[in-house]
Amino acid sequence: MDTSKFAEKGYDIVAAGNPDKLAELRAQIHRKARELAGDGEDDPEEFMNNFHRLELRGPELNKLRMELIKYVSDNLDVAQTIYEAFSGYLTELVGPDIVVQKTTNLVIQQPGDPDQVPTHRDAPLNSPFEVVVWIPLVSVYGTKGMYVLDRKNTDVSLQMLKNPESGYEDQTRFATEQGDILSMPFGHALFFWPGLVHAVGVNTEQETRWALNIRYKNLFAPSGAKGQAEFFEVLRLSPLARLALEYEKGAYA
Amino acid sequence: MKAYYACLDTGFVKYCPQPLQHLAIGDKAKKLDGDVSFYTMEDFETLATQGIAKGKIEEKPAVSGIIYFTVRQFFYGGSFDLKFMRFILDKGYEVHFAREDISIPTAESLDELFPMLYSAQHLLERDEPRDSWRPVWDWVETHQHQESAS
Repeated sequence: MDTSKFAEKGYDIVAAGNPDKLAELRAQIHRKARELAGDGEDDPEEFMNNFHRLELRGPELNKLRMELIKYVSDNLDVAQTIYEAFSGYLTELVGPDIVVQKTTNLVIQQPGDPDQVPTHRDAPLNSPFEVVVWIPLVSVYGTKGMYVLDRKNTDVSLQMLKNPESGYEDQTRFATEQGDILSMPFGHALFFWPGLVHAVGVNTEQETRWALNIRYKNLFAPSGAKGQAEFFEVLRLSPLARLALEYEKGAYA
Repeated sequence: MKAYYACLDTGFVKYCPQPLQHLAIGDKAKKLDGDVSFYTMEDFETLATQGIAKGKIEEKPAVSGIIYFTVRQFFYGGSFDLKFMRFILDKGYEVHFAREDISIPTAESLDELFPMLYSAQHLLERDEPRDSWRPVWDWVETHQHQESAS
């Protein structure tokens, strides 16, 4: 498993080792979204790409999004499915004792939508020992995707924040101009280190972006400000960890 | 509708005042289709032993369980207090945590959640700067030193 690009740049785009898992997950999300919308194409990628043509806006769109996120959280084991799709790469990065973010985020970005996540980095609020997995449910390219500054350019951009007058504006402009635009077909995921500056701009393409994001880390890696038990749940344990935890449980009793 | 005892975190009042802790615990009770019937909290002197909560449980209250503000309330003794959590469950009461949105209704669910509770305590002990918790840790350390000297 080659993680050299991740080590050097802080991110990499990886093809799923088990793409059928992702296809089934997307099919389930598509079925529910279509039911909630009451309209749209049969094909999941077509439905999602053309979602903006259903012209759901404002509270109506938000209601659908919230109901869909609740459905995904309550009924689909997204964390496990993504792990199964990328188990080799994930285990190489975080080890065999894995905790995962309790909730999965689902983002729907329609063309021209001005509501977007600002330029930011996840760590140090989140743990620098996490890996963020960003999974587009459609093919992404250009402004339909996201951009990320690699480790070197992240360091440059953080220096800009020292200017209290224009630091954030300078950083955002730098991120837009120097950020690596990430293109990938469905069936791939972006793995990135949470210390990297990243953002999305206004989607000026003619298709809607749908993407999931979720975070994994080692059971005993520092948990950041969000807290171990607040933010994570155990996904899997190695045989050794199981044995040791059983031993510890006995010692505590 | 189920009734629950609320047990606020005395050690965290400086950072999350009582009214906010009540809101979080009340919200957790609603998720459990219940309501809070009574609340209690430890003194600084009983943080490590949960003596006040233990006394309440010994009274055999007519509630389904206890909703704590946070799992940290089981860490003040210097390690995860598995024994006291088992004691509550053995008495027939559920244990819930508002901040972490965790529920432990049975001994089996405690077994399942043990790796998370164990690792949470170890990470907190290892990684959290004591300055952010100083009033509590200063007291706990002093108390522990006094105990080991006696």
